[in-house]
Amino acid sequence: METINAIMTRRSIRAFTGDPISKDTLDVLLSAAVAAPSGGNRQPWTFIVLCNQKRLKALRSLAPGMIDMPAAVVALCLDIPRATIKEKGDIDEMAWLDLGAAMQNILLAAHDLNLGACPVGSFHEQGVSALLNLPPHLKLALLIAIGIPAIKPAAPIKRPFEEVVFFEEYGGNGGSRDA
Amino acid sequence: MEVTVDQEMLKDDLFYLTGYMLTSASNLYDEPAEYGVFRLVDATERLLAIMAAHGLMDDYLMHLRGELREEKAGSMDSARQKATIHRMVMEYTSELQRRLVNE
Repeated sequence: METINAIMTRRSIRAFTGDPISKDTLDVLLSAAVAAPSGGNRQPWTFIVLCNQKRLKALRSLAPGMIDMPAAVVALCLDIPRATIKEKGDIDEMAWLDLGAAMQNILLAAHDLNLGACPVGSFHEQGVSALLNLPPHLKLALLIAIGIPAIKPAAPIKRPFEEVVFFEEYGGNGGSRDA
Repeated sequence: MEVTVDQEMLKDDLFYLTGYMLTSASNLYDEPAEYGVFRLVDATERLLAIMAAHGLMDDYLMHLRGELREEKAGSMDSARQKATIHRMVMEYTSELQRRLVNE
């Protein structure tokens, strides 16, 4: 699949057939995740993969945003020491973008393999962290539900190009590519 | 028709549903209000899924579950969603009346 085509045709898949996906396939998705760019190559992430049905059921009970029962879930965690600017002691906000890049790599790799995936932001952070036995240096950022698509939704309406893209300066050319 | 229910499995399924509903209530304090509608739609479908797994469905409930699954998988367009859920309630009302007459 061409990259641009993959980007344009990917959808958030929330309904799954219930069929399992192989460990090899999951390895491909996670390899795509760790290949994501990160500021200063700090790689401020840890990925926890769940594919045991009983644990998935338990996780789903703490994650209302997980609409259907997936075949697997990847929990994206921020590695706080790696994300922290040592001189300031604060988390570098750019580290969240690093996690976003890893997330998108998983979503696109899943689409390329004819899988469906959906980022899930609605979960009980403390509850899921306890379930996953996360150590204090890892902060749960996002869950990604993955499985065989049962329904492919239509493309959602996007904001007009002219409203979100400008050239040279804000308001410039209203999205026109002409200088 | 006699229905055999695996009580241990049913208890397990309802335990998870309980957790889902409680977690939803907790999370909704920090989420957009319209998510509440979606969580109730989802809870209805999850309940029907449990009923299906235990052989407690009939034609109407299977039809309703199919519609709810489509609704859950679709985009969160609140105007369309409101009309769809309203229609489902009216269909439920018709089914309710039919069952009352047949009692």
